[in-house]
Amino acid sequence: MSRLPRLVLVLVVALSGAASADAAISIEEFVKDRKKWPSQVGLRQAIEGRYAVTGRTLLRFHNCPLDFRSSEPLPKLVRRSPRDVNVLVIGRIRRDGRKLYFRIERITKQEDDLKQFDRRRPTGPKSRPADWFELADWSSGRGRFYKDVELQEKSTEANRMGIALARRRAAGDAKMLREVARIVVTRAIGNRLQRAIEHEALRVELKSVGDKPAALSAVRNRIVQGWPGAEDTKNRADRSLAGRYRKDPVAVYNAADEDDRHRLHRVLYADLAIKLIIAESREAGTSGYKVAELIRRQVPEASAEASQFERMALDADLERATEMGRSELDRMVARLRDAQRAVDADRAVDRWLDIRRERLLTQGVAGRLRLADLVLSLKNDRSTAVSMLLEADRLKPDVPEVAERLGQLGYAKQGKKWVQVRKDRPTAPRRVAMPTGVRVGMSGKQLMAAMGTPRRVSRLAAKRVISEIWVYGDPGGSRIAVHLIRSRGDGTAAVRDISQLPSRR
Amino acid sequence: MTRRGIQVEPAHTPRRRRVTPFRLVAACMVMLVAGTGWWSLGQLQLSSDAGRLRDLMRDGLESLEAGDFSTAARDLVEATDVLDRLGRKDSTADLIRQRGREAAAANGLVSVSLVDILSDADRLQRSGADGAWARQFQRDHRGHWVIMQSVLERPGERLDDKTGKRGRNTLPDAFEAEYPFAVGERSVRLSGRLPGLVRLSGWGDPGDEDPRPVIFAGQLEACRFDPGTETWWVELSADTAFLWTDIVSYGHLGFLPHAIFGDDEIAAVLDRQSAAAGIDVDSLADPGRADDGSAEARSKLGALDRESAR
Repeated sequence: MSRLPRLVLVLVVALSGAASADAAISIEEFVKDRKKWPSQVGLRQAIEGRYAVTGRTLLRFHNCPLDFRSSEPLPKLVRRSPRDVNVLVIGRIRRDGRKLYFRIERITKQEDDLKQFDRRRPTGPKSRPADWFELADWSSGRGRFYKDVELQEKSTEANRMGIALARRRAAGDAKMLREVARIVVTRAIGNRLQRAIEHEALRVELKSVGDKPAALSAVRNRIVQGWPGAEDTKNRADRSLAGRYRKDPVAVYNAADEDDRHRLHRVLYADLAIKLIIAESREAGTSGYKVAELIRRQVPEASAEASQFERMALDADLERATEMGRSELDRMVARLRDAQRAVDADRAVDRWLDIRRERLLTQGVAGRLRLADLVLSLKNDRSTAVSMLLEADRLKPDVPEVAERLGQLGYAKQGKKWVQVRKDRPTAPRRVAMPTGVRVGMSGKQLMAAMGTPRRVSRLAAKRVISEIWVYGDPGGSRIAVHLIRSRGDGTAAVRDISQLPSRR
Repeated sequence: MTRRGIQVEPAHTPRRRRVTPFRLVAACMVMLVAGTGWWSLGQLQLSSDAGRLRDLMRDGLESLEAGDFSTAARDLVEATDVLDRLGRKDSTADLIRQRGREAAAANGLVSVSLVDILSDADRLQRSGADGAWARQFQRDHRGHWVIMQSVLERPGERLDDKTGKRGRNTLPDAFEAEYPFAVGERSVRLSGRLPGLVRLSGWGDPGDEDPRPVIFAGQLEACRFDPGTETWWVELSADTAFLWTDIVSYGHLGFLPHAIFGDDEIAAVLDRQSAAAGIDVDSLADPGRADDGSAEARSKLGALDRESAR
């Protein structure tokens, strides 16, 4: 025989030997198919598993009722550990009368299951999650068969390894990550891991949607529905946890316990809600005040962010203070004072007045009257107001409105000169307190005598009456509203209610 | 019976056609005659109404001037209907339409003051009976008119819980107003749309530091609470609100001039609003006082006659 055919023959023999070993079925499978044993009589089989007992010529496998007999004495099976009981037997099922037994033709010692597990671990860059799941299924089945807790734990480990590998491969792809999360459920690895992967998918999705309000809104709604604690405003993460989460959301979430995860759901929701508010506001051209209001409403814990938007809006408003109307200025001044920026408020008022002063001074008495009203209401500057009114009086003496205003400021005309007769005017900014002199039932005239001219009057006609509301005070400060009912018949008005109005912000 | 034997009569004998050319022509002719008759009747009715137009306008305006809003509304609304059917778009027609609206508003006023409505609403809302309030408002107040004198503002950004809408209302005729009375410490705001606002001089001018009040009427549409801003919103129906222009009916409603808002101010505001609403108050003589025998009156009456003849 030449060298080449001999080599081929050796290879064939070797491969067929290997194939027979590979074709070995586990005792578990063998037992499962016990109904087929009678039909398998005489068929050569290779069976591997853990033996329970051995005798001189007899061997029994765990959980298998069939005797495995050898015509020759069995070799001594040395056990290095209690677990070292795996063997491979090759032989045939035979009949002994009506009883079946397995005639051992060859027996080989095998490495134990844990060693097999370690040997079969998928390694290298080409290993696939499926390889791990296959190993997990093997160890799980075998662990169950032998009631081997350690091997069953190995199955969980293999599943985790497979999931981890799949998760690594799916990183950055929300759809694939969600697929992995589903595998976690089917492999019963636990909700924690599934939730962690879902979270990672959500973060990926959030990154991909960018600032699109519709998509952000959809994600927010999903968080509300599926992430416990997200809507609970009391469920707040401490600063350190929130900070760490914002820096590395996936890692921090993975490591967090259940309570912390609920807190992180709130952080996730809050950040998203603010992002959505900003995105929508950008589209709608909403002011910073409104953004701040929205944030305070939806995410009460994010007061710092809300204040930041308010500050930015105030700064922008300050820039254009001189172009504002009066009511807008009042609102801005009130906001500035609330934000403890009284100096800015005063400056804004000064600039606003400077712009109008020149124009009003060219409008004679009416302009000076208006200017006096403005400096009084905006700055409570009585001396400037008085000088404006005196100037108006010089321009056109005995104008009733001028006299009335000077009278209100404590001045009276003696001869041809206006002299101060009262100094009991308030020096603090005009704040109207709930008046003690106003009472329900008093007439409109009495009200006028007690409170003076209202700053504003709103009137509304109903079926039989006219409802009037007289407002006292500055829009930026506290205001009193007095509700009068005027009957249509005799036209007399009577105070019906008094209410304190909130400042207009 | 055929040559091969007796032939059974087919079960489905073809029926005679329903639509035949003759029937079609006949139907068309009937329709033509009916249409012509209908149109003639309409024209006859229109011609009869046009003959009554003068009386309707005169009586309506007289009733309005006398403060009889119910009669005024009946006559002026009918006159408006006739004018619409006549397709009149002249200044007189516009004036009558405006007076018709004003009379209808004055005749359909809400039964109690807004403060009372809001007090009820607030009480029910606090007791958790929001649905009860919605039903009560629907039953008692929705569709009723309010006539109001107030300073209006351009709408700010508003949060709408129901619709979820945010942002500035960019409609040019949209307005908001602070109803300056707190109901249980909750502020109240009105919102609506006034088509004439855009033509009102100074409307929405940020440089106007002392905006003048606007006198307007509108039908109540809704009164709802916004928990986010702790504000009661009174909404006026969008297609009903209009600027008031008539000083006489304004007085009859009980809006008396007083120290804060005197005769001159009221007249100035209403003139301004008339201009914005495109109403020419001199376009039609006052029929109630026209027939005093003077040349001027005769010419006014003549104008009215001509109006009715148009």
